[in-house]
Amino acid sequence: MSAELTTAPSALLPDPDELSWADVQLPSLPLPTLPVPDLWGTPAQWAVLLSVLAALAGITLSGRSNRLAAWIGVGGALATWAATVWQLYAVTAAPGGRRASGTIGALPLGELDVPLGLVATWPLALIAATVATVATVVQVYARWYLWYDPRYRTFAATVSLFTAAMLLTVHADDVLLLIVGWEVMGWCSYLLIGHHSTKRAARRAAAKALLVTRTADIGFVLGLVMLAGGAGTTSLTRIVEHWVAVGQGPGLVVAMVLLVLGVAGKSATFPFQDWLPDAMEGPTPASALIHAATMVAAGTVVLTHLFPLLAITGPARLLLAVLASVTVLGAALLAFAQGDIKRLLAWSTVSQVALMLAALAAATPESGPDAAAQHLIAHAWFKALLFLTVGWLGVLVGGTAMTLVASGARRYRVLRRRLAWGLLGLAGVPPFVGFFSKELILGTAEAGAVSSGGVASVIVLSSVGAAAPLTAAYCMRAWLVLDRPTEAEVHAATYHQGEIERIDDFFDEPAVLHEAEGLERAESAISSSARLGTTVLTLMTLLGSVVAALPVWRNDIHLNVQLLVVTLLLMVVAAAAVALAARGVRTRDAGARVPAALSIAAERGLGFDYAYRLVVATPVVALAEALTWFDREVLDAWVRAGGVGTRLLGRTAQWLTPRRATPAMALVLGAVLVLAAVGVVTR
Amino acid sequence: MSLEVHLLSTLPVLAPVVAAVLVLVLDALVLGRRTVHLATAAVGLLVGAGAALPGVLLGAGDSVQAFCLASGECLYAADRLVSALQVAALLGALVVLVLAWPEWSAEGDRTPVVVALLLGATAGAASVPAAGDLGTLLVSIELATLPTVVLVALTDPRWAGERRARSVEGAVALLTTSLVSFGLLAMGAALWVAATGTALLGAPTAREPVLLLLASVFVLAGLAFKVSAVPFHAWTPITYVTAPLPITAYLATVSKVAALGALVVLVRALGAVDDTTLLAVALLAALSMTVGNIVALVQTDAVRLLAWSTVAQAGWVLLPLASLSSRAVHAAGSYLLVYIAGTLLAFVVVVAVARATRGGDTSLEAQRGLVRSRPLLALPLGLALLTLAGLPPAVVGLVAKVVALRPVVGDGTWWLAVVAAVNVAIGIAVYVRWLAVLLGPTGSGAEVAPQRHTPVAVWGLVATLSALLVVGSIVPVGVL
Repeated sequence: MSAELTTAPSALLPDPDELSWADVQLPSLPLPTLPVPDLWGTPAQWAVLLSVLAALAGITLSGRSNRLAAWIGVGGALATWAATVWQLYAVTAAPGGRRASGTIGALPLGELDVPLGLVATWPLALIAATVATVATVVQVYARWYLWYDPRYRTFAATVSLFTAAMLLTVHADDVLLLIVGWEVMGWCSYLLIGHHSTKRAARRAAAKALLVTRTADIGFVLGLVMLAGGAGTTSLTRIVEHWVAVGQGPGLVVAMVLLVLGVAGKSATFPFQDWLPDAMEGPTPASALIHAATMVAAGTVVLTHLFPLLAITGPARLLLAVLASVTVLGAALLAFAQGDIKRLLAWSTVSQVALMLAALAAATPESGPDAAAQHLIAHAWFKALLFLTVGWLGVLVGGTAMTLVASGARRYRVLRRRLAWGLLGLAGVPPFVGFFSKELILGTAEAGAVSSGGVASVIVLSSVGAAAPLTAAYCMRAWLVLDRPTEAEVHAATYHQGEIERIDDFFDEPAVLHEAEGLERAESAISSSARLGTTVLTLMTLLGSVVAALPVWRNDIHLNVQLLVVTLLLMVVAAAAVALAARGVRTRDAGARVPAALSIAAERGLGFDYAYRLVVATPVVALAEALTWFDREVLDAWVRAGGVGTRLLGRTAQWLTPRRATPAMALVLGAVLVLAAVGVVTR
Repeated sequence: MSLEVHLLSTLPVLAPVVAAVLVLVLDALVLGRRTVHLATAAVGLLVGAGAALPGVLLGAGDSVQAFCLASGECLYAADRLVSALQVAALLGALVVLVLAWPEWSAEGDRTPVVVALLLGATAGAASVPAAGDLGTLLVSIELATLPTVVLVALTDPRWAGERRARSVEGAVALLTTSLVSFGLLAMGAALWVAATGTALLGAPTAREPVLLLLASVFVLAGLAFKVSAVPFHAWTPITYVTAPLPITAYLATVSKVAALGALVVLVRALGAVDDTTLLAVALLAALSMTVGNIVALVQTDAVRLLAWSTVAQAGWVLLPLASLSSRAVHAAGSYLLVYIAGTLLAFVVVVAVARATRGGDTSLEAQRGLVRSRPLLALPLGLALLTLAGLPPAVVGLVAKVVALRPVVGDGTWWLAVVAAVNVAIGIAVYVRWLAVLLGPTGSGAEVAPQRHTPVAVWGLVATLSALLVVGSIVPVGVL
C-alpha cells in the first residue's frame, strides 16, 4: 500500500534501508561504575512488601479517619515509588542488567522445584517505576475525588493491595507468585469496580469483570501448570530454558494457547473485551489504575516473561495475532461511536492493550518483545492522564456524556493542555510518547513480516497500520467536542463582528461573562497535590519519549521511514475527515454522524453481554441447578434414607434386646455355641 | 518348688486390698466417721496408682514381676501396658469414689461395706492384666466382678421401693450373666489345660489345636460379657440404668479395664502359641459396634445412651485385637485409656446435672440448652462427647480411632475396616445428636432447674479430666 504514496518524502530523507532504531536512540553513555550500597533486601522485594504493608495498615490502622487512611495510602505509594526508582539505579549496576532475589524461600514440594524468586531487568524495572508512579498519582487523586466517600479508607487500601499485586506480577520469576499476583489483582479489580456497592450497575460490572476474567483464568492457570509440570520447576527462567531446549511440540502448543486465552481475558481482548467498558462504573481513580498501568497490562508483562516460548510456538502466536488484531480494529471503531467520553477512553484502552499483545505476536526472537513493554509504559502515561482529567471534568460538568463535556477544554482552561497532550499521545502524534511506541510496534511487525515472522506478523502489521488512522479519528472526534467554542465565546465573537451593538434588556453581557468565568475558575478547584499529579502525567506524555529512546532497549529494530510517513499521512487524512464530518453538528461531535442504530449497538458493546450470558452464564447456571437437583433429590435421598433406616434399625434392635436376665442368659449361651461353631468351621 | 515372692511389686493390687481391710478395721474402731473411711480408701487407691506409675515408664520387654517359679515364669508380671491399665483402673476408681463421696458420706452404716467392696473390685481389676496363669486370671476376674453386683444392689436406702427393686433386678441380671460367663471361663480354662498341658499362660505348646481353639473361644465368651460385647451385652442396659450413677460410671470404666486386661492376657498367650487370627474377636467387634451405635441412636436418656455407647466402644476396643500384630494390644490399650477418660468425664457431668435437677433426671431433654444455662459443665461434656465420637477439636479421640484401625488395615481385614468406617459415621450421629441437644435452645422454661450447689470436688474432676483430654488432643504422645 505504500508504493505510490511515499515517493516524495523518500527523496528528502536518507536511504531508509540504512536507518535503524539505534540511530534514533540516545547514545549509550559510558556511565562511571557507580557504587550501589548493599542494602537489606532488593528493591523488588521492598516494592511489593511496602505496598502490601500499606494495604494492611490502611485497613487495620486507619480506624474512622480518612486523613490517616490517605496518609497511609499516599505514604505507602510514595515509599513504593522510591523503591522502584532506586531499582532503576540498582539495575544499572547489576551484572547483565538482571537482578534476581528470593521471597520467602523455596517451598518443599517434592519433585517440583518451587524457588519463589523475583527478578528485575531493565524493561521490568521501568514498568515497575511506571506502575508505582501512576499508583501514587491515583492515590493522591483519589483523596480529592473521594473526599466525601464513606468507604474511602477501603478504597485506598484496595488500591495499595492492587499495586502490590501488579508489582508482584511484574517482578515474579515464579509461576506461583505470578498466579498469586494475577488472582489478587482480579479480586482487587472486583472490589474497585464495585466500590459504589449500592449501585446496581456497579455491582453487575464488578461481577461481570470478575466472572469474565476468571473464566479466562482457567486457561491461564492450566497453561502455567502445564509449563511448570513439564519443566519440573516453577521458576519462569528455568521453564523458558527447559521448553526452548525441548522445542515446539504438542505440549508446548497446548500450554501456550491456553495461556494466550487467559491473557486475552485479563487484557480484555476479543472475545473477552466486554467487561472493560462496563468497568467504567468504578470511580475514576480506579478506572485510571485498572486501565493505565495495572490489570489490563498484566497480560503483556506475563507474555514478556515467556516471550521466548511464545516466539517458537506458531499456533499460539497466530491465535494471539488474530485476537489482538480483531480487537485493535474493532475496539477503535467502537470507540468512535461511543456517546460517553469515558466509554470512548475505555474502548481505546481495549484497542491499545491489544496493540501491545499484537506487538508480542508479531515479534520474532530477533526483534524481541521490547516494543510491547515500551507501549505499555507509554500507554500508562497518557491513559492515566486522560482518565484523571476526564474524571475531573466530569466532576465539574456533572457527567461524562459527550453532550455534557462539550466545550470542557474551553470552559476550564486548566484542563486544556492536559486533555490536548493526552489525546495527542493517544493518537501517536510526534513528539509525544505514543508516537515512538507505535512506530516501534510497526517496525517490529514489519521486521517480522519481512523476516521469519510469518503470517502472524503480516496480520499484525496490517491491523496496526489500519488502526493508526482510526485512533487518530476518535482522538480528533473527542478533541473537537472538548474544544468546541463555548456559547459565550460564540456570542462574544458575534458581538464584535458587526458594528451594530446589541443591547440586552436585562443585564450587561460582558459582566455576566466575567462573573461566569470567575465562577468556573472557582469550581475547577482541585487539591493542589492531585493537580500536581496530573501535571506530572502531562509532562510524562512528552518526556516519556526520552524513556523510549534510552539505550537500554533492544535497538536492532529496523526503522521503515516510508511506512512511518504513510502512517502519519493516513492519520492526518483521518483527522481531517473527522473534522469535516463534525461541521454542522451542534456539539461538534463527528460521532453524531454515525447512524443511531449503529451507535446504540456500539454503546451496548455489540451484544457481547448477551452472548456471554447465552454461551457461558446460562448453561453454567443450568448445569449447576441440575447438579443441585441431582444432589438434593437423588444422592441426598439415599443419605436421608440411610438416616431413617438406621433409626428404624435402632428401634428394632432396642425392641429385640432382652429386658430381663433370663433371655439375656439364653443369648449368651446361644452366642457361645455359634462362636465355637464358627471357630471350628473356619479352622 | 520354690516361689520367689516380690510382694512390693504387687503394691498396685495390694494397696487397695490393704485399704479395704483397714476400712473394715476402722469401722470396728471408730464409729460413725464416714469421712475417715472414704479418705482411707482414697489414700489406698492413690498409693496403688503411685506404685503402678513407675511401670508406665518401663522400656519395651521389661516388666515388674512377682511370684516367680523356679522355671522362670511369673504368676504376676506387669509391663508398660499392664501398668498403664492398672493406673487407669485405680485412678478411675478414685474418680468414682470422689463422685460418690457426697452420697456415701451421708449414708447410714453401709459406707464401710460399700467402700471395701469398691476397693476389692478395683484390686481385682488391677490384678487381672498382670495375671500370668489361668488360676490368677479366674480369681482376679471374679474379684473384679462379684463386688460390683453387690454395689449395684446396695442402693441409697432413701430411694423409693420401686426404684430399689429395679436396682436389685439389675444386680440379678449382672449376677446371672457373670455366673454363666464364669462357667464358660472355667470351662475354657479346663479345655486350655487339656490342650496345652499347663495352666501357665507364658510359654505353652499346643498339643491339640482344635481343643485350644475351643478353649480360647470359651475364654473369650467368658470375658466378652465383662467388656459388654454383643451378644453378651444384654445385662448392660438393664444394670446401667438401675444402678446408682457413680456405680454405673464404675462399671463403664474400671470394670472395662479388668475385661480388656484379661483379653490382653489371652491374646498374648494365643500369640505365643499359634498365629491364628481370632475370627470370633472380629465378629464380636463388628457386632458390638454396629448394634451399640444403632441402638444408641434412638435413646432419649443420657445414661441409657451411655450404656449403649459403652457397647459400641467395646467393639472399638476389641477391634485391634482381631489382628495378631504386635501393636494390636497396645492399640486396644490406648483406645481404652481414651475411652475411659471421655466416659468418666461424661458421667461426671451427667451426675452433676442430674443432682441439680429434681428427682435426678437423666433424660436428654433435661440437658437441653445446657451450653447457655451451665456452660462450664456443658463444654467439658461436649469435649467428652467429641472424644468418644472421634471428632476434632477432640483430636485425641480421632487419634485413638486411627490407632485402633491401623492393625486391622495393616492386616488386610478389609470387611472389618469397612464395618468400622461405617460405624464411625453412625457414632458421630450418636454423639452429635446429644451435642445438638446441649447447644439447642433452652427448654420451655416450665421447670427452671434449682441451681443446686455443685461440690468443689466435682469441679476438680471436671477440670482434671478436661485438661487430660485437651492436653491429649494437643500432644497425643501416649496414645500413639
